[in-house]
Amino acid sequence: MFTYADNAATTKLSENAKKAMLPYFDELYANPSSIHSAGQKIKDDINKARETVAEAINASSGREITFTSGGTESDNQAVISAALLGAERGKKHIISTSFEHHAVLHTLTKLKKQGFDVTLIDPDLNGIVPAEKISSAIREDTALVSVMYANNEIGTIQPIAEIGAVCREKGILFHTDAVQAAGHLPIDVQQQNIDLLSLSGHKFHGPKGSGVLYARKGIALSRLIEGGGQEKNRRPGTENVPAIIGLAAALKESVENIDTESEQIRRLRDKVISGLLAIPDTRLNGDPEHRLPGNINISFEGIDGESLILLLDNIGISVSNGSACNSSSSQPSHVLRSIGVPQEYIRGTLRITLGRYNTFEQADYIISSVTKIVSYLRSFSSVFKKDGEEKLHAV
Amino acid sequence: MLYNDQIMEHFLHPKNMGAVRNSDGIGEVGSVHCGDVIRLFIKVDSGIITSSGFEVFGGAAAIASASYLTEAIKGKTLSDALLLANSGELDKALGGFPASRLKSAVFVCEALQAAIKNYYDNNGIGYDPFDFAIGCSLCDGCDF
Ligand SMILES: Cc1ncc(COP(=O)(O)O)c(C=O)c1O
Repeated sequence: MFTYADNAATTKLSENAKKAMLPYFDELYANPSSIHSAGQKIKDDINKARETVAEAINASSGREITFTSGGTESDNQAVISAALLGAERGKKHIISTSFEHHAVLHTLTKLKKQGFDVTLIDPDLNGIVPAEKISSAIREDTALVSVMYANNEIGTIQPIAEIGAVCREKGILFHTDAVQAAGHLPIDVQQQNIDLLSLSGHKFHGPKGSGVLYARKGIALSRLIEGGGQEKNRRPGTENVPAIIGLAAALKESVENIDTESEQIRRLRDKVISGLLAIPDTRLNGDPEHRLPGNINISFEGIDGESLILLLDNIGISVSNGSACNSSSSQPSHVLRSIGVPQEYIRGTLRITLGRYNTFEQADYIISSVTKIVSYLRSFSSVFKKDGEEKLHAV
Repeated sequence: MLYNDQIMEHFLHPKNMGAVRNSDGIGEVGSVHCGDVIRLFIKVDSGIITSSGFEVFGGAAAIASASYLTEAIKGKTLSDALLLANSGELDKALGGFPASRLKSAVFVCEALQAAIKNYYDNNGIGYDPFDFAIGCSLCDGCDF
């Protein structure tokens, strides 16, 4: 049974989003910057999409929405813009967390080389960065706080509204990478005191290569590349029209159904979690309550995650390894280490991320397949203690 | 695909998994901290390997290598098996490993060397340490 359970990596394009996009591949092809009516029609449609996105996150107007090429670009532009705004006022300190996506972390590394001072806060053992840890790191020269809404690896939800409130009170810009949260957790940029927010279309059943950067009115974004005056001078280049239309349609659909859908996915998640925790010597990583509805990050002692993933793949189940590292690196995840996952467990970590199109049948299939494969791999593991056998200590 | 068909075939249908009871030599290589852990067992009769098995903490490259090598050494003399461990045979037979997983294959070869050495030591058989010192030729030029 083909079971796609890697929805944190990407999601299937929704039928509605696809239908909305199709006309923009052929009939509606004019350039939105053209002044003829065919062009202006496209411009209007983009602006409607902008309003749709603004409404979905409760922005005060579509003018606060910039369409980008994805979560990565939005993160880069948000962090760099805020850093430059800070530097203009002599503030060159940035606070973030050690488990942000590389789109944020690598941008911070670049800024560090350019003379910014960066403080990265580690999450607590439950995978959550408490607001107090952020507020006690704030200094006179802090320009920006960037904390993700939900972590892509362990799915833990961060107290962004509290962090936003702290930042607002101190006059510090607050950016949140809401790429994993959108469509699953409520987003209200006004109530949550968010100044800058990143979204990625393909994580909520929209097209790949589409993103949004929300910037509260009055926050001047810096361009990452130079060119024409598109997107109010914030993002040059002829718009990727089908992607913009698809993203807005997908976001609208996700947000309209957020309660029922999250509940349904959460039920599947909890079923899989309890099924898998019945396997001996297994642990769930990250807070069990404050986690994304679809995220299961789970470790099995004494086996290697790669073998597990490939054997699951062989029977049609697509999941990912638990670490943020790419498939060419076998370095254990720094996230898992930082939340205290023991060495004997780290390598045997799976990230199973469920979504809209998963079924109860698939949940059962995941549980029975993982259970069988874990016990098979343990039967000839060199480090897992078998029944009645002393654990042989590997060097 | 990360791995070629030969490796996947051995990985999906491995032979000789598990410890060998009353084995005559055991070799263990690796560490949970920095890579795979391979334990390789041999049973020896009049200088000939009669059976072999392995336990592994590792990915597809480790399992496929151990499956291939434990099968290939059956019926071989200890010195032929040692030559096999020291040659590039494993890499060739399995059609080449991704660079990031070569270390797993090297560990398996080293585990076989260690098992043979362990057999010699257990039985007071002398050997030329140089036979074990040259390392696995897979490792030529790699920086592990
Ligand atoms: C938390 C987070 N931020 C940013 C990104 C990057 O988004 P995109 O793939 O649209 O560039 C991802 C997705 O990989 C993510 O999970």
